[in-house]
Amino acid sequence: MSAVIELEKLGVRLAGRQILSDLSVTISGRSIGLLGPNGAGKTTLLHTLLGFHNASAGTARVFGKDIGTEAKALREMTGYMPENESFIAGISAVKFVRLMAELSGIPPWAALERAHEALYYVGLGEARYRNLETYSLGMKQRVKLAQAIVHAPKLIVLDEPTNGLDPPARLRMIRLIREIRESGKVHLILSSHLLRDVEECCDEVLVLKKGRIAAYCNLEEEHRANKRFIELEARGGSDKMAEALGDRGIEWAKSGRDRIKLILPNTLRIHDLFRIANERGIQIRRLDHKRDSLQDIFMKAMEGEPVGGL
Amino acid sequence: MAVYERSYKGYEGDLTPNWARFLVLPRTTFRLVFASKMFLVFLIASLLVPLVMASWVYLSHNLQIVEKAFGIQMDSFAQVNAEVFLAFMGIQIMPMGFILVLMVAPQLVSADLANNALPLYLARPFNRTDYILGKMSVLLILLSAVTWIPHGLVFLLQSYFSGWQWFADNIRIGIGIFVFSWVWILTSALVALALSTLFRNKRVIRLSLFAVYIILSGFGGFLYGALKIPFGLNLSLVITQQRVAEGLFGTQAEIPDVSLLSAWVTIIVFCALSVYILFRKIRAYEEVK
Repeated sequence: MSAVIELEKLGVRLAGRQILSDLSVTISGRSIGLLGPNGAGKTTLLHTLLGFHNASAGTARVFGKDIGTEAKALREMTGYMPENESFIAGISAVKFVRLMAELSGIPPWAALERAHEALYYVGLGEARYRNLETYSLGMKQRVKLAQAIVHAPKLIVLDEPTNGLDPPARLRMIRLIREIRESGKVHLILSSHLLRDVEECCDEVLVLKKGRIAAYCNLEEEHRANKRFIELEARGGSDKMAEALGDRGIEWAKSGRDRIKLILPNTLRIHDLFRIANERGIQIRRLDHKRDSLQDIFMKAMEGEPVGGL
Repeated sequence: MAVYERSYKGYEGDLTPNWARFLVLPRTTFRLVFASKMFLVFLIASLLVPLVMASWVYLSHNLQIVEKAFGIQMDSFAQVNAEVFLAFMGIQIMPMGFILVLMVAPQLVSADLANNALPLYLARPFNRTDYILGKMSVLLILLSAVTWIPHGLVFLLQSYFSGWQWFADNIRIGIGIFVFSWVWILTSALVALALSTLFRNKRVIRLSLFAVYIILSGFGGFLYGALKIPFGLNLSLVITQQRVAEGLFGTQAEIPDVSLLSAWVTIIVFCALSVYILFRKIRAYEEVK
């Protein structure tokens, strides 16, 4: 897959402060999660990719287009859902979304049609003639999503899309984002400080810390790798079980009384473990895959900073 | 993304040209502006000035109507010349045009800033110049409709009645109407938009516009009259615009102490300052120091 975002020693200075430094990465995933604690530079990176801020050092390319010299062409293929409450006063949702579509170059008649469709798509079909000022926070978030997708961009930038939403509204938003991702027609960048949002919606994750890249990984690959990390509880002879695993060349380590952690080789499957246990007369009472991989990645990236501080 | 399908769909149709996209803004804004009945009434009222001027021109060429109506003998009606055109333009601009600016300008940019809408505009293939041009064109179109277009038509009406020779002899009036209208429209639009970016509240913007045009003129008059500071009157946009108009129409200067050059310089400085404020304030996100 060709690169979506290419950063090369990218640095951004704002108001005399270095916000981003020395970012170098090539991202090619369909949906990219941007994680980091408050002040890590997530929003600044998004704004720089959108051309709101100039790079003070290095270069950045989105779909091969330079953000400095080809900003207009880039914005033609980008949809942006800002973090804060943003709307145009005094107009209905359908007029607002139509206006946004027209500003992206869609002719008026097609813009109106797509505005209706986008609002139905995000579940605001019945409320589309209401003035935006009368919308609840959840509805305003959805109308922001509608304006971001109305012109069918190739890349949608979502900055904290679930901010301030109650659990049902958050689930609805996540479902919409996943649906858009699964349509296969668009790339997503989702910035969030909620690990769960990123885990549910993204294939790749870029973790920022103090304006630098702290981690970059493919969640799919991580998940796949994690499936090979197994912890089991063997009743009736964990030492015998460990020995049997060792005989088959499986890496293992004791993680407590009767508990063994192991990395399952590609040549073996889970039911082989049960077979081995059965041969030695051992009961496997519990078997778990490694969980919370994103949290682990994040914690490692933060080098022990508490997740609660996010 | 058809409604019945409720699925995400791409767009393969044609796109509008880049240069024309700023025109989307005045169309949307006009809908909001014309929703106000008060504005509509005032707009119609402001067209009465050129209508009176047109009647003046018509009657000056059809004296028998006046004589018949009032039963009096009239040898000649007041002559239609540069002074008359300038006087009517003056009334049209101050107060009529100025009140229109006061009614429309405050809501143009301040509402977008207050509702954090600029990132939505500027995340599209639409830059700051497009945004300023789009918002400004609301005032440009509106003020054109009450200045050079009706007064230009009155000039053509006068030329029609007086003949080709009058048109050729007085072409300076026609040019004066056009150029001075645009000088006034551009200055007012830029100053009003700049003030609209500085404050969020409509009333405060109206007051600041009033301060720039009226109070600053009064202060300039005080500097000139009481403290004998020669360039005091150059603080007044009203006086400098009048001086520029006199220069363009070729009429006698009412306040000769304000030189034509210094009047032009003042207007250019006001416009440059407004453009600077606009480009400083119209940003997707403000950098917080």
